[in-house]
Amino acid sequence: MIRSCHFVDGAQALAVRLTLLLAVCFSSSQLCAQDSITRVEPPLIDQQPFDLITLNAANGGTSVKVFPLPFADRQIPASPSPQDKLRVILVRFPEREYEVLWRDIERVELYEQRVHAEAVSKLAAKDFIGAFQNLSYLLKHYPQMTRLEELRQEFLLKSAADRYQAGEYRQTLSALEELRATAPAYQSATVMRVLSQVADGLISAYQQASDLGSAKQLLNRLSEAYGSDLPVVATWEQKLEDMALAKRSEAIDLLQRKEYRRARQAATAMLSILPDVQEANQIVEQINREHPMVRVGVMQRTHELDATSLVNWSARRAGLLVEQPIFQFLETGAEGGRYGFALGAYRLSDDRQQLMFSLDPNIPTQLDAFGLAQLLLSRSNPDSEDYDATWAAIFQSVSIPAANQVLVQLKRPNVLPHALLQWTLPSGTSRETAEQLLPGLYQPGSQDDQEASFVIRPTVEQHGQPAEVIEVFYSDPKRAVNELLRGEVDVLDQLYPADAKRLASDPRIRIGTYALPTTHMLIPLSDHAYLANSKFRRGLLYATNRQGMLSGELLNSEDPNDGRLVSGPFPLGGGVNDPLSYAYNKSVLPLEYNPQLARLLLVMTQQELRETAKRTGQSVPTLEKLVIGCPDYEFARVAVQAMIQQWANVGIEAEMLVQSMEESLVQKCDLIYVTTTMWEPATDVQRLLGGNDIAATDNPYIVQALENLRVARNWREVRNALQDLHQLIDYHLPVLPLWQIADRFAVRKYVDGLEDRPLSLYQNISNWRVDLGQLQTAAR
Amino acid sequence: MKQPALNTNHVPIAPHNHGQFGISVRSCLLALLFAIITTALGAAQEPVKIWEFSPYEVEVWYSFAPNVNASETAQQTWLADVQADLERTFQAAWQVTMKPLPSELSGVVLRDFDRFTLDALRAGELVLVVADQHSATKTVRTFDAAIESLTEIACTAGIKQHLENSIGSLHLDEDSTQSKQLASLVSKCVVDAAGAASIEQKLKDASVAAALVPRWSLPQDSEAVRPLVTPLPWQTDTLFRKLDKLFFVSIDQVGDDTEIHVRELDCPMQFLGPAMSDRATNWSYTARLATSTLARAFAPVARVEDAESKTAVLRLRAGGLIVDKHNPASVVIGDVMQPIVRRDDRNGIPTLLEPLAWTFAAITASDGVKMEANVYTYSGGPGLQGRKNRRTQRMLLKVRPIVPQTDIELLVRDDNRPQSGCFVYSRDLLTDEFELLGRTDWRGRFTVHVPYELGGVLPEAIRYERFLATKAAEAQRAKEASEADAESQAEGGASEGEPSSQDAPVEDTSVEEVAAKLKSLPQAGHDPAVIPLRAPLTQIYIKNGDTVLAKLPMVPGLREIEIAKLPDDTRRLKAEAFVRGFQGDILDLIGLRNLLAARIQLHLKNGKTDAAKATLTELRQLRNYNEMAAQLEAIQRRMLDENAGPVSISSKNRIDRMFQTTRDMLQKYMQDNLLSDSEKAVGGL
Repeated sequence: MIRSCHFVDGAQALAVRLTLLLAVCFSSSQLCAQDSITRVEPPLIDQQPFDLITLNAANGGTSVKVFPLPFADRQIPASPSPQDKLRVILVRFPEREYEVLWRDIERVELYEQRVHAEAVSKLAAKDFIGAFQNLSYLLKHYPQMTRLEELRQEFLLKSAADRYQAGEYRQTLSALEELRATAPAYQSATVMRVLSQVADGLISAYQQASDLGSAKQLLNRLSEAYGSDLPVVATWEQKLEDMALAKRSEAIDLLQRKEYRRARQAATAMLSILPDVQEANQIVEQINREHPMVRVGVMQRTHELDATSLVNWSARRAGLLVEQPIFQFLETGAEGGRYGFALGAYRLSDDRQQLMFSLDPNIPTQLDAFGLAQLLLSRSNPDSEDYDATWAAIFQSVSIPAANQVLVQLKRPNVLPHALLQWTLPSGTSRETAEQLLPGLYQPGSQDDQEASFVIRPTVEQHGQPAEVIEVFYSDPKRAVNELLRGEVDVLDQLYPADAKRLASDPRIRIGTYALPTTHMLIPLSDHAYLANSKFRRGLLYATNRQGMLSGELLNSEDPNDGRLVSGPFPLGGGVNDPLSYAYNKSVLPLEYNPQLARLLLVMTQQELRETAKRTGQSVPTLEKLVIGCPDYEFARVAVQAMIQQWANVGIEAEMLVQSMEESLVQKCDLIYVTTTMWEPATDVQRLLGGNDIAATDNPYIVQALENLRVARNWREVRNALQDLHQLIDYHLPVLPLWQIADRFAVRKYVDGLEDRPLSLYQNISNWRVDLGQLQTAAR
Repeated sequence: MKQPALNTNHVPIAPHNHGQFGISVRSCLLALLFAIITTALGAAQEPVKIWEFSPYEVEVWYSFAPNVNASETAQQTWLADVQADLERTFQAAWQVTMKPLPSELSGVVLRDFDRFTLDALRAGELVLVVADQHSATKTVRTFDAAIESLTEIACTAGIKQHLENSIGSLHLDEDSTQSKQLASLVSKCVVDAAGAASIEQKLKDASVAAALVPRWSLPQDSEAVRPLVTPLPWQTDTLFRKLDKLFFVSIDQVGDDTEIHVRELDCPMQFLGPAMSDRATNWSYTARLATSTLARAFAPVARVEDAESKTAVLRLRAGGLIVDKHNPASVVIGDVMQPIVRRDDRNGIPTLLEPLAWTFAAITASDGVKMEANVYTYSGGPGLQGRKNRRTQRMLLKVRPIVPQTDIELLVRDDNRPQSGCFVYSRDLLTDEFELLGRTDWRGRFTVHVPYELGGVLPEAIRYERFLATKAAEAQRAKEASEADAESQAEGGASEGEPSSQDAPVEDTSVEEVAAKLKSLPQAGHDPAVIPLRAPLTQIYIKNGDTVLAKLPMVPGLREIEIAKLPDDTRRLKAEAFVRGFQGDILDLIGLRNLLAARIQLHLKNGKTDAAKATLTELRQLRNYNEMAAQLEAIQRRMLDENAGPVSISSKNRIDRMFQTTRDMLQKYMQDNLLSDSEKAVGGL
């Protein structure tokens, strides 16, 4: 990576920037003026209603817009006297009233007639959306209009036919059922014939997707609505029953072969068709007894396992199943978080310069005091593969005062040295070794594109906790919700906020909120010339209507507890009194949405780059399309798409690249959308910006601020350093902070033991109990 | 005594004499002439050594490990082979003698061959110390004077025994001056039965005039005693005067392999080189292997004849005796040398002996003896310039990179705190392009790897000429552009980019001159003026925010760690971080103010009075000059708060300047009539 380094005097640079700014401001005021001149005629239904009078040829044949004419029932007089005058108000001159002789009028077109005519022409052109808008308008504002019902029926039939041809059976069925319900006489034979075909097609599709529950539900509804009028219903009911019985046999067979995952799927399918069969209930109970399992719907695939990851939600979630970090954040406290030590107990001395570990001999691990001491030493050695610079910077020495004790001497006082020990062991060696040292309760099982299995370790004593956790990946959150409702999955992680609200009313489902919020941000990755400019980055934030997105398409909520804007990478928690917000500098406010200023900053950046290129004799960099890496889950996708649209409004083109299982996005993106779990800013920000992770910054100001944080000796110094850091991050934007979100999950009530506010989904997995017998009730 | 070398004028250097060694006939004739003259002068007077015609006086001290699979005879044969090989390899440039490593040094040398120091080597040697306050020693400054004037020299019985044994082993002619002087020394040695502690106390009390003590036991309190250079024949002080190079060679057996380890000690500069080693399975190869390892460990020496800030003229030791450019004693174009400074007191005792930090010379021209070099030194460094006198020598040793990487360690000059987070750039010596390498870690360290390609340099004169040509071309282009602008403005309507007769090239002498100069600029392909380097010379820049803290030329791989002590820049950088950020705030604010003012004008133009008033309210709510100035003031107070640690004067001045510049900008762009004009416009409706 070669970067030019130009040492320009700061004062000169500022003077140049300000001069540019004033020049740009002048031109932007002209831009404002130009924008107001260019006007686009809105659609007819969005315009103020007006009638159109066309004069005859003798009077010039011109058409004029007039305010709606006060005809009785909006009917044009059939044969007005040619000498009569029609009083009209022209749209162009609303102050005056004019009179026009009927004899001079060629024709009068009422506004609603024109809207109707436009709807008809759109229908003919198969512009069903446009036609629907016109039709809706007329139904709302001119319900008494003649030929309107005829138009509606024609619209329903034609749109149904169109959707049928497009293979969209659900929309076709919906249109036909509405037509049938509201106008049973309208082309009855045709409607029923097509309805039957569509129902057949839909049920077939459900069957092919093995979604027999949905097929059964549809059949039940069609049967109630049409009975014997729809022969396809009876045919399919018989078919489904046969299938259910086949599933029962399959479930019994799989159970005998101890293929519990597939047996459960077969039993679930059977239950969704025949919920009242006693045998089904017995099969389910047997599965639950022999091999309790839980299926967890996830929105992000588990590419890697890292229980301590700061920026990878799925790695952190699933990592906790298979490995235990030496130290694990448990909850927030008055001064930093409370941590659990996987090997026993720990104590930080009063002068904060000694850390004493007491190893509990009852904890089954191969890591003894000597091993731990060696590990702590190795992590501080620059030549070691496991070298951890942050730890090395505070580590002085280690000793073993007793067989089960390890004493670490620090170079200088540190408020949270143990927070730096959130390591999984040992990262430099094979996973097998790590599992032997500090294993989690589960071990990775089979994995494919859709499902990843984690099986309980043979050494773990079973008390009814799930023997297997199966993570099922969903790219479509709606499908995930449907499968949760059907019992295909028992838990759904990272619920889309709107879905959480919808599901909360379902008595079978419990909605939980994670104890601590995630902080979302964009991290610049590439050497994109514009992105390297802090003005451009500021422009990106000004161009993003973060509050609008958050309360609109992302959360559909104004409640700050659901999510709120942040001006830095630190969580704001529940507000100013939340101990989690100790790093947050409340005097730093999030930049407000201001697309004009964003545009101004963009133009300034362009001029600045041009000046730099001129000075250095290099070519002027062009504003290449930005590539934004996006984790593969709905919330992030929606957020990134919205940002791309908003940036386009100020002239910044961008495209989204969704994370795939096969490859990392880091090399391909200019920016990446990241969800961080920064719950201990005092140490996590070092890991985020100062480590070797994707957000590691080269900004000298931030690097120095991190160094100040590292050498802070007490909480006052830590807070001051963090407040300064927050201010500097806002100034220089090494990351683009977006918002903090309270993440939610949904769980079927037959899964017990999952707390309402856990820190992480599998935090208390050993307490989980699954009563699959309740599936029967659920299915019923 | 080593004779001072004389300056001689020689054949002028042919510029850009790449690899051509025009030595030969003329040099040999001169050498012959010199030999005749010195012979004619006779043995009564020691020959005057001429720098470039004096071969290196070299001794090789060898040690066979006990486990070496070679008989005594085989070892003797081996030594003879090595001696012959060395003579063949270095030809007339070396006069080499091979001796076994003295047994008293074998422990020090062989225990840690790669890392033993000169101090460790000399720790066991005897030093004559005189009591500073004793009346008999007031004028004694040298060993000879001490032997002549003092009557008694205190020592322990062991020391005296050691002295007598060492003298006895020399087998000196009893009539020789040296023998007489040593006998005198022995006779004046008075054994103090109370031992070393008693002698030390007596020296402090000045109750004895002088004592002979081992170097390791020299009293720490140097004010009470004065150590003298003690040139006993077997000690390093004598060796340093007699020899140019001393090599330590260890022959070891590791499994089936024979390992050869070599370290060079440059005697005049008292500089220990890096350890070189090699191994071979077949014993018959090891003699040649030893020679090649010795050749690698050997650093040719050059002397500074003349130096400017960026260039120097050097003279190669024994250059006149080297007829083969492959002789390891030669220095060729592209070689890199590191300077070492030696400053002696009036008695010839070195008071300063150290490599010049972060300074290197790249050879750009050579006639085999006289060489021209580009000098690269740290920011503000003297390069090879300096006061010229007989007691100060500036020598250069050819560099020998041995490790794959070097850690630069940056420390704060005053308190040795690590300077972490500094950005490390390398600057290409040819293109002047910077490359960001990374930043120093919490230890203030950054690892610079030896590059795959060694790069090249331009002779300074050519580089400067091209620099001037580029500047002239830029100035010319700027001039032409401004003239073109002025013309198009004067014509008042010629569209931009439209071709016209004015765009046609015009005959202009200055342009031709510039073009001619530009021809000498490096082309995309091979540039004949570029000298490929033979060592990885790199220019490192240390940057902290907007400020370059240091320029540090270095040769990666020369040592494992290079330490640079730099001024503490943390407070200035912190201030810069806030000032830069605040400037961004100012920019946004000015932008917003102007946008809102423009919007008000637009609303008024469209007759939207209410919208104009609403926008005016927005404009009023923006932070004004006073608020911004107060905020800036508060930041400045914080940045200069002494409670957070002292701020150096230079840092304070720079911080003040940054804030003053920002304040000036604030005044210039925020103390305007924008708000009042907008209010008038809205209120005037």
